[in-house]
Amino acid sequence: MPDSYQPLGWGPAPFDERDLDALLSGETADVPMGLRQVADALAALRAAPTLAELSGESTIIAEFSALAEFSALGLSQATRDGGQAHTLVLPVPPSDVDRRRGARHRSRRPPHRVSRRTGALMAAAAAALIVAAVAVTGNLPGPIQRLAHLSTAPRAAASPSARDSASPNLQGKGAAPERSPSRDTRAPSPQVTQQTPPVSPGAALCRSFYGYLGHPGSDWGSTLKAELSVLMQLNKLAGGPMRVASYCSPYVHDLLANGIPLPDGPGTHLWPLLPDPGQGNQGQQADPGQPSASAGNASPANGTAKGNIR
Amino acid sequence: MAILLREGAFCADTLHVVGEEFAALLAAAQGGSHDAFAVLWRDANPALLRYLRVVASEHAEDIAAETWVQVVRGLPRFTGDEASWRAWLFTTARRRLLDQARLRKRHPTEPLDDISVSDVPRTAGAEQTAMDNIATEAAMALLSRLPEQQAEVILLRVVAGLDTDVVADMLGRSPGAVRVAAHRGLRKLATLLSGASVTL
Repeated sequence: MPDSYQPLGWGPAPFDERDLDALLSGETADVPMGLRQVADALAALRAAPTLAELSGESTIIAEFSALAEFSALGLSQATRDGGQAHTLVLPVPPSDVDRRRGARHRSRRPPHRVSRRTGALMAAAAAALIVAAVAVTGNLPGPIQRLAHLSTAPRAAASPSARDSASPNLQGKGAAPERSPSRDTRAPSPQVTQQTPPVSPGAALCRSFYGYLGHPGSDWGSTLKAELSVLMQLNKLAGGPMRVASYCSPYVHDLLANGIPLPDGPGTHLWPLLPDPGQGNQGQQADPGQPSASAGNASPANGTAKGNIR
Repeated sequence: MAILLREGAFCADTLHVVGEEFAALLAAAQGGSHDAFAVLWRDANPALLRYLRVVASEHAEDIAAETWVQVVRGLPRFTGDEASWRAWLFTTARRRLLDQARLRKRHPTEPLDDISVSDVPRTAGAEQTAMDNIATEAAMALLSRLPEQQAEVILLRVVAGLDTDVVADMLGRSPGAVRVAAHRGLRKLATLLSGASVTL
């Protein structure tokens, strides 16, 4: 039946899929009568913004400004140091660590056998450090804390002041990463908080690593890989895995206030693998003022949000 | 930097909302320019809010704010043209929406007050603005009566200005299914409008 013979008010005039596609594309020049009201509704959806829809601008601009300042501060600090860029240690999502390591460090790494052995030794040392130190502070999950209790001697309870001081001291301008991993894993973003800058890159790394030992947080498992990366950098700075403790001792006394008492004597405190501060013997340590040439291999989270988001 | 949006621009025409200045705007915003970022925000936020107010109702403002925070953080790494920019923005919003929905299931909260028509200043020309606002609100209310997927597809195609393939990617559907959903939604809108004699 031709359209013109339809009684008035007997439903909308016929239209086809091409008309609907045109509506969706914003082409309203030849809209059938039956779609006129729909076209008006869609045009209303596209109408000019209201005041309410533009009222949150100041808040988002403030957020934008804050992030822009963080980025600018990170750059300006490097130039003030005469071009010697400090290592910016950022949390790396676990899924990205191995891929990034493979792409960036393949040409610099020693032969596989040596690097794997060294990595295994360092991972074992780090695991032992983490288990022992965190068990002191009581921040481990239950099963691992029970294991630590079985293997360590009776220890002094971690003081509240030590716990409280651990978190503020983790924050350093352009140096210490936040502990909690980002929820939005599609586009990982660097999370940097600010305070006074460390004296050297080694100091920042030491405080980051030992701060983690003292206060790993509930998501310690997800950040463990990142901390192992920090430990590897400290290894290079200090000149060996067994020198990391003495290298870091000047920087981390306040992070582990009580340390771990030795089994053979009450009142004898020893930092995790650190020399006894009371004896004045700092052991062999690299000069904190002269970071090693191989330092600074950490890379910022560098996910690229491409236009074609999937 | 004073860059004006093209007047009367349809959001469906994603190539020309901000227009040729988009690349320069984006570069300036990535370089830290507040003004450039403000232009991008003013261009996209109304469409974002309208989308969220239909699919998320009382949580639209919160989700929009969280979306923009994510966008600001990811802005230095974004690459693409204006269509890609909108796709990224609405994809981020949709993810926040799903995250919020999951969170609300675990921790139910009281709903916020209904969003009312914006408070328009009583000046000359305000009447037309008020009429436009009412028309927009009425259109969104009408869209809320559609099945969720149909409403969402129409919003993403019309308000966000995304093409069928991009919408299909976002929703995890085929382009054909997206097209069918959009057509069904428009047909239902036609039925609702003809039957209710709604004036927009």
